[in-house]
Amino acid sequence: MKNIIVIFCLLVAGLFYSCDEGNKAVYEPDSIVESTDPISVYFRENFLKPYGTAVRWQWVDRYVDDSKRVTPPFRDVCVPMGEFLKQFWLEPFMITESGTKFMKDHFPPEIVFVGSKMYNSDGESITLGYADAGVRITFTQVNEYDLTNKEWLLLQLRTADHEYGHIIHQRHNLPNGFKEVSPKNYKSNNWLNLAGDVQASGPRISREAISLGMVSNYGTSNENEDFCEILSIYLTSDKAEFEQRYLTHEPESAYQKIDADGNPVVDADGNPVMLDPADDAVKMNEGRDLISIKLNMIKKYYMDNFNVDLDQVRDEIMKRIDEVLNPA
Amino acid sequence: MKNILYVFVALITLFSSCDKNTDPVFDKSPEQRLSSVLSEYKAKLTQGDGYWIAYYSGSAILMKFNEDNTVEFKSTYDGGKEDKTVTYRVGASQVPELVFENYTVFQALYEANRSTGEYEFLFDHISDDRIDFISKTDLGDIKTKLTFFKGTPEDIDKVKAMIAKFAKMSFFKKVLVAGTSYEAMLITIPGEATLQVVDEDGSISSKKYDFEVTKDGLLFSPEITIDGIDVASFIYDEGKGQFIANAGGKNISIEVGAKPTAPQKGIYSDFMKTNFKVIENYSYALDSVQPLLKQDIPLLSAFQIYVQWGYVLAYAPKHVDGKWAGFSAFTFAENPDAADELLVAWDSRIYGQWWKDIYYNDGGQKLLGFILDPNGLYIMKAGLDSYYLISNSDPSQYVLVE
Repeated sequence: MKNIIVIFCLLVAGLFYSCDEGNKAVYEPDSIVESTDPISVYFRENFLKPYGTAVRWQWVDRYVDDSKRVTPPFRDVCVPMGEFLKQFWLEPFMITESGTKFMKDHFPPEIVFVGSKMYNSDGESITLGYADAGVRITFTQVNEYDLTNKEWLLLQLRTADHEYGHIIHQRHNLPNGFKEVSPKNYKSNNWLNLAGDVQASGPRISREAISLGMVSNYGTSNENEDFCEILSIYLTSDKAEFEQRYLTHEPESAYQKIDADGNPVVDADGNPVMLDPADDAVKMNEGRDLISIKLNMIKKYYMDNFNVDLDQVRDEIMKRIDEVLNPA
Repeated sequence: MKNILYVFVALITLFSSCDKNTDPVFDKSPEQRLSSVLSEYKAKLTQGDGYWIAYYSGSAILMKFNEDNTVEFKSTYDGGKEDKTVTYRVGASQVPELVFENYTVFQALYEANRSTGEYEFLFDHISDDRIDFISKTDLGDIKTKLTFFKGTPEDIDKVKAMIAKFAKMSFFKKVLVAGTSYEAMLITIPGEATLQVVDEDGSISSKKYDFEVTKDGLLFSPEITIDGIDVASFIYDEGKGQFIANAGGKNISIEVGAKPTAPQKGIYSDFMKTNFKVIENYSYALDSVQPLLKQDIPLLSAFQIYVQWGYVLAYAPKHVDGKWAGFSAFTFAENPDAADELLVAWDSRIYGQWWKDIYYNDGGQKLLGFILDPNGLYIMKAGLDSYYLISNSDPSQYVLVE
């Protein structure tokens, strides 16, 4: 019996030994060789190493929803686009130590460059830049790179700051109480149907949206988009323009006309020329109060959590925009 | 005895369990085999001097594939403005594919024609002198195909020479099949050919085909069907001034003539029944009209002709100074010297704020010169309410109006 047990054990050992031979055929992939393409080197040195961010500048179609049609970026614009993101998105936050830490802690792991607009399957309508699950931000229309084109510059910057806002609230939640400020005013997909355009595009803004306490039509879709729209539009707007449009109350009763120089207008008899208030003036002002409350919450949230002063960041961004649009 | 039986069972188990690993169908893993296929495809692209030429969407595209994963483009598209060097890779998503990693002339062609353009292609068949691809993104039943033909550095200049030759050829191209009575008309505008056959009852049947001018003739993809015979390519015979193909055991030729064999009776009154028409396409000889005008009028959409009201207007829907501008006081009349031909006169009146942008533009002058041909214009039926207008003085100049 003892001999049989020994033989049996030897056979079982032989079984495992012989079966092990087959495992040697398992594929071992070739080691990955780092690209020496100057553009790859640039993004490795300026984004991957300091922030752990992979910039996808070479075309891989799986990075884009397969129902969309897009074209890849020109080689010539990839590095300038990288510099643009550094100069207008990263660096304004990094003028302080805490801002630097904030950006290094939260910068997205993946950025995708798309050359064209993102055409829907009909080949005509388009989708603007977007973020996926807070990890990837896609920039469209990169081939239209032109720092002197304010519309393009703001489109890209607002995409960056808006999508970055999603990364922040997904990781740290919305500011306390933010959801309770205007909970009944969100429109879900009906944000497309708001009336009274103040600005037709980039982004679309209506009086109805402002009356609801949002800075853009898209902001009325839900509280997360509301947060990101306030953040991105605040950071990329001139202080006086933002306050005029979103914070300062407009007249709710008849008021005297003011000329372009800010002087009250009078008629030939010296009587003041009076204007009627807008029909929705009261609602607009109520909406402005809601925007003011939410904006203050966002500013406090950034200060309390990250020691980032959004006014300081906004001023730095606007200074840089002004320098590029109005060179001395 | 019982113990021996146990040992025997153990031995059987041993051999059966190992048996599955002893006879692999392939020596390599799936990953290694795929990698090997991709390497083979890349080797094919770079073989020799790495030159391949493709004909796509009205343009010839010459590519030089290099070992360092760069590809150099030269094309006939937009005067070569999209000629670039980019990186490429032979990869696999579901099946092997060729990926140009940045913007190339293929994407430029797609952006110029977004409803039908394609720019991602999967390997289909591969051989020493041609590589066939199928569109990755075409969702239609008949997938767009693209073929790379083995090329030489001189190919792009040869194509340009052939296009220049083809551009001077008359509208009137007759298709004949040797040894039969078959006769059809082939009408060509950049990228598209229409085969018109007069049926026994006198009605006209038409079928459209995509075609390209190649370095030595014409290429149809998919093949054109002539008298039941499928033909992919024609070679230009310089001596005869004809395009020749041999397919299905028959010699097929495309002969170029100066005039229509006979005017289409009553076509002038048919043409004049509808006031509003749009110039939808231009012949090779006139295909610089629209690009030249767009240099001065970037928002230009199309030219409109009002044959009863006597207007020829450019339409630019978002122009700040109005959507329309152009010329008025035209007279569209039947040529007194040739029935069913058109003679256009102009009383030199202008319309709209930006007429000068048209009038003082080389494209605008070319178009006016064509419309006001002193010898008149032939009218040929294209579809239910669409027509070709062909210059009598130079029948290589023609437009499609709908």
